[in-house]
Amino acid sequence: MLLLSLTLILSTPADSARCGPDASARVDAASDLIDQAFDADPIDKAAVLERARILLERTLEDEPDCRAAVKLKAHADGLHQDMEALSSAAAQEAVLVRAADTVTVWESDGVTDPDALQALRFQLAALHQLRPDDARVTDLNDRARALGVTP
Amino acid sequence: MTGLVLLLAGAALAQECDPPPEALGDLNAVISTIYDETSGVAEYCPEDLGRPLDMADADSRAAQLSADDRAAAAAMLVDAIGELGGEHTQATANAAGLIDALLGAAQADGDDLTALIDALLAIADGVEDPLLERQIAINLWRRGVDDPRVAALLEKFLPSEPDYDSIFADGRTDVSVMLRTGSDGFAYSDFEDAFARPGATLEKLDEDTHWRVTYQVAPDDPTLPTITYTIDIIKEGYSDKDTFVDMDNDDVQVTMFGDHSQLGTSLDRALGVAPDAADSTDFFWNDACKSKVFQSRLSQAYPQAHFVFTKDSEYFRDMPVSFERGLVALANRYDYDQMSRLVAAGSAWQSKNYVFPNDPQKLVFQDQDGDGIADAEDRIYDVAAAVENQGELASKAVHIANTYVGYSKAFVSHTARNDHDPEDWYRPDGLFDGEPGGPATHIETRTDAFGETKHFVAVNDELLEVDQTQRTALITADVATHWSGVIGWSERTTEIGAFLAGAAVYDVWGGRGWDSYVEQTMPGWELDHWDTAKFLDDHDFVTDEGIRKVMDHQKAQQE
Repeated sequence: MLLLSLTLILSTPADSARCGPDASARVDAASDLIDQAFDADPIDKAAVLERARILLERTLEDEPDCRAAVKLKAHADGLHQDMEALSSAAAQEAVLVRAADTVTVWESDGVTDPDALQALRFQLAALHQLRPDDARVTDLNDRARALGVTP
Repeated sequence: MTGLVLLLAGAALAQECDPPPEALGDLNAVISTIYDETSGVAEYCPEDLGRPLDMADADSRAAQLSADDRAAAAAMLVDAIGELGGEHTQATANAAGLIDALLGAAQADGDDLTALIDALLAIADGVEDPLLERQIAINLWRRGVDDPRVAALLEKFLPSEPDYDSIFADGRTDVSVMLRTGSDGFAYSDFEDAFARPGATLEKLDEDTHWRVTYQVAPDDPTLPTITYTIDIIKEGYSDKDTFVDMDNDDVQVTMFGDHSQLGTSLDRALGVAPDAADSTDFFWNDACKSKVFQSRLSQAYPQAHFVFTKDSEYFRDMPVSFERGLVALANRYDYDQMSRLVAAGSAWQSKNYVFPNDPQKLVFQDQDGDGIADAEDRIYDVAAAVENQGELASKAVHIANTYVGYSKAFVSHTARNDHDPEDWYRPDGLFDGEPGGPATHIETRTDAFGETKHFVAVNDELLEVDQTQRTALITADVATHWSGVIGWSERTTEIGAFLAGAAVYDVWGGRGWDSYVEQTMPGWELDHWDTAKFLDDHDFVTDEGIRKVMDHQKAQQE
């Protein structure tokens, strides 16, 4: 609700008056995308917001005086950093959860696939660089290292 | 200097040389006059017109000329090559190279560049050989020239967006996508989730080998039409050869590949039978881990195609997500900067992993004229090398060495700058005239075309005669030795680490020349490469533990 209010405040009739029909349609679409970004799963937020930002940039290339696009673009830019962080963290979390499930299965079965284990170890090493203080990553790294390759 | 004078041009310098072919008389006169007016390390003979210009020497001479003389020289060079045909491509390339040197000198002096840029654009406009046109364009890119005509020329070689006129030809809205992957990519990439999230439907035509996704993308821009993608996800084995069959297939608009790279060999079979489609502008997303190792060969096979490739690992996690976003970007007619932003948005870690066709970084991994020098640094088109294409064997090997060092924890974990691209420190730098059994490489540290300090690897030309595995292993060992010096390893650790790095190439590929490799890197070592592989980790990488085990093994032998 708060977001809808913001969007309405951002786009006044005076702003729209300076926009051609295509620009107005694009601004409406970008506004919808920003709403979708708020509603989206954390992992998808940044991508949806980025689509809105790109759409607004293209709108402004064609119609630089479209004030509604200018204002909405500034609004979207202001959201970018937070949504990027949210999505990135969620994407890392998804990798972590999937890796944990995989390691648990392999520990339980006593069977690992060499190539899959390689991919998993690379994933975890990369994750460790990004999240050096995350005890779950450290633990999972240790568990993955302890897994032997079964031919 | 009062100006270049073309009286008796070339006579003084050419008296010990054979006269030039008649067609090259004017060009010979101009160049010999320039050389006569300047001093440098190279002695000029007309037959030099048939060999690549010494660019360092040309730079030195260009710097000695006045601004007026440089402009006059460029104009005379353009006139002199005006009527030359394809049989004199090297001479034309040398003239263009000389003007590039003049341009560099003019830039350094803060002179007006117009006449020199005009000259280069005039040559580019008239040449028959696309590689020479490309060379001139890349040289202008390297100069950072801000000119709309240059930007238009560069668009051919660093395209800002996909060829949408081809992908969506005649208003096409049903787009066919072919996505090929290997057994691991098929098994471990979560295509189902990646395409189910945005509402695509997935049909398993064959549970284990062939899935089909129908994905309708309504572009965010309401002025664009909805696109329906039919995506065939095919499992290929290493013996399959179909990866490139659609490069000349008008029924497939987008191609994607994602699987292991196998140190740059997993596409060898497919490349061996790839269809001839030099004019193809197809969009091809190559999402194998570190797929940069294929780029030199792919760009030679399909110089106009739009390849997206990775610098680092993709972990199978990135591939399906990136593909899905790439298709959204295409439906929205994004340019490559926008596509890159969407693919990277909120990703787990790989925000800079993909190299898009507009990114000059791709030139680091391309060697279009096959002289062994990365295109980003290569200022002169070598026509003979392009025919033989031997140097590409060396440049590919250097990139594989890069990749290998970047994979191995023993090298990475001791690296002071432990970032995500530790392997991209080494750049192909051509061939040198070496001896059989002599040093595999000469490595020199200097600034690259992007202003970064890198290590440039020139390769012993005798290595072109040996088996691919031996060549790559020796280069990898040399690169590892050099890197060990950078990170401060002891002499003994360096020797073992480097030896194991090359041994790993043997373990991945097999191949001939093991004894010779051992003789050059670890004299006295008696195990074959299969037994040596026991000192590598499960994935053929060098580790601290492996190096210690070799030391223990040698100690036990001595006792």
